[in-house]
Amino acid sequence: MKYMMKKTGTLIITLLIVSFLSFLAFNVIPGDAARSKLGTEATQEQVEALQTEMGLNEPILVQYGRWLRDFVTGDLGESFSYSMPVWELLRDKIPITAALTAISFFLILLLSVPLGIFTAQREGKWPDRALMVLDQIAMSVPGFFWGILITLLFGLILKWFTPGAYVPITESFGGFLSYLIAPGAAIALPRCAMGVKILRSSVLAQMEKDYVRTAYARGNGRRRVMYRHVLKNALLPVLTFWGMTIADIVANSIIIEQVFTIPGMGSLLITSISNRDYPVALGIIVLIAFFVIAVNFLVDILYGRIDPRIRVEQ
Amino acid sequence: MQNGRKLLEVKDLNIEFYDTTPPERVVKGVSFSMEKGEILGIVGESGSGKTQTALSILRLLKSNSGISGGQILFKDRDLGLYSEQELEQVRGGEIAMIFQEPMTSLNPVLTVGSQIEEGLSLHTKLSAEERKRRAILAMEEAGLQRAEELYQKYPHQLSGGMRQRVMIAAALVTEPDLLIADEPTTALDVTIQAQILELLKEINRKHGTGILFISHDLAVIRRLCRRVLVMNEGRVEEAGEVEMVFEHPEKEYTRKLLAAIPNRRESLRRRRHG
Repeated sequence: MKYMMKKTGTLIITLLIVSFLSFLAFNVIPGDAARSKLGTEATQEQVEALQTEMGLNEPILVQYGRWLRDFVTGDLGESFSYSMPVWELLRDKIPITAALTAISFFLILLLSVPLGIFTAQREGKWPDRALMVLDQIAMSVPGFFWGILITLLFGLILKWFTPGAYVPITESFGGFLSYLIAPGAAIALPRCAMGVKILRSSVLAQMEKDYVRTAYARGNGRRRVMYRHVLKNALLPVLTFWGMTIADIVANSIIIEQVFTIPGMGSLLITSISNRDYPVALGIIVLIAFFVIAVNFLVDILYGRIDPRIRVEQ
Repeated sequence: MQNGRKLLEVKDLNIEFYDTTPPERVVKGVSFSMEKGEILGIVGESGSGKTQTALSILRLLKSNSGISGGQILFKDRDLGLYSEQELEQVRGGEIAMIFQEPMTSLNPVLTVGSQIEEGLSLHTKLSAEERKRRAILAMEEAGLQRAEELYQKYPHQLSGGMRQRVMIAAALVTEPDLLIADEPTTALDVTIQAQILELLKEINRKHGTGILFISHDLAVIRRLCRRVLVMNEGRVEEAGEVEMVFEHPEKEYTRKLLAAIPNRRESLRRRRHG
């Protein structure tokens, strides 16, 4: 209970800091919503009039206070450039980015766990060495560049998908998901490579432990030692990495959505920043921050479920 | 030899570490035998090859070392000819092993009960209920009180002495013919040490379990074993009845080893005359 309260406290403080810093950033960068809405042709008087109307001339703390008050009551405000409630704008974009994140994360789990175990079991032998070289390459190339390479190979040469031909979820659910596999893989590759490396070294470290010798002495075969004894212990450091990975996927999806022209939250965030449309940008940033904190909270709970030593301390 | 009394026979055993060139021989032509129901002690300093000898019986040596010569006969069967699968049946079934560090020898994320039961799930076809019943019996026999309650606990919730008792319960649950105990009392304090030694004696008396007891501590060996093997630098220096070795050591090395342990009679005499 105390733990829950502590976590909720952290959540609130983090969201306040994140939103205030983002708010501050909008005030520091040149240009504002009124100018971007009216365009370069508008006169200074017109701009100033709109600024007053939008409340942009008020002190920053007053503006932030007003945003916060509305936010607490569930009102994310209205977009300056789209003239519609921010929530309505986000509502359509969330499923797209969420699906992209889920696909990436699923690919990371699907590939990194078996490969991590596989390489650890063959430490120093040729399959391990070959995979470690590939791993190093996958890790050092950034996600967006993988995106370009994947588009080139699977889109333009092999024609497994049509680059840029995004399929909305309302049109075809299958088409929507299969279009997201390529960008999902682009985000997943570098993180997956890191996951393999972390799990591999974690498994190898566990294999040296005394309890593994006990397990063999009891008559366990190699498979059983790995899956019943070693893996649960070896997953602990990897779990923290996965938690951080989810945050990283969301951040990466902002760029990848540009590469694959996916109309998700990333694309919306970039447009709203260039339009100085702070209600939209702030809505997205706070949403992402909330999501990242929630995932970390989930990781903490999972950690306790796997490791009984932590459960007691809580 | 074929009279069926022999439990374990080690003949001219050699063990090498491969990570040096040329490979370093750490056990050099060690031979000994044990009868059924016997408690045999192996004593020596660290690096004398006693642990390697013990681990080699179940072929549990680390990958950087291996048996380079000799024979290990268990109940007249040559374990050297066993495949890995066949050995898995022997490990924890007919031959069980307990180790020096009870703190780290148990898996931290599995309950005590599931670790004790594991031998039964690997070596028998008993039902889950029967396995639990036997695990709890083994725990009680190993001197663990409130066994039902402890069954659900995790290793970190137990003291060092309790953990070693859990290790013993897990080793004995399958009723093995031979228990290899590699310095099982070294990490424990003196009172607990004495209790564990009594427990091992009791198990030996009750079930006729042969015990190969490895220790650097001559005093501990003397309390438990009838025969002892003194090892030094990978060789057997001296072997024989414990009392004979203690009272009339043949080798200089054994004499030095004996001189190193605080002798109660000696210290009493010194106190009286001093």
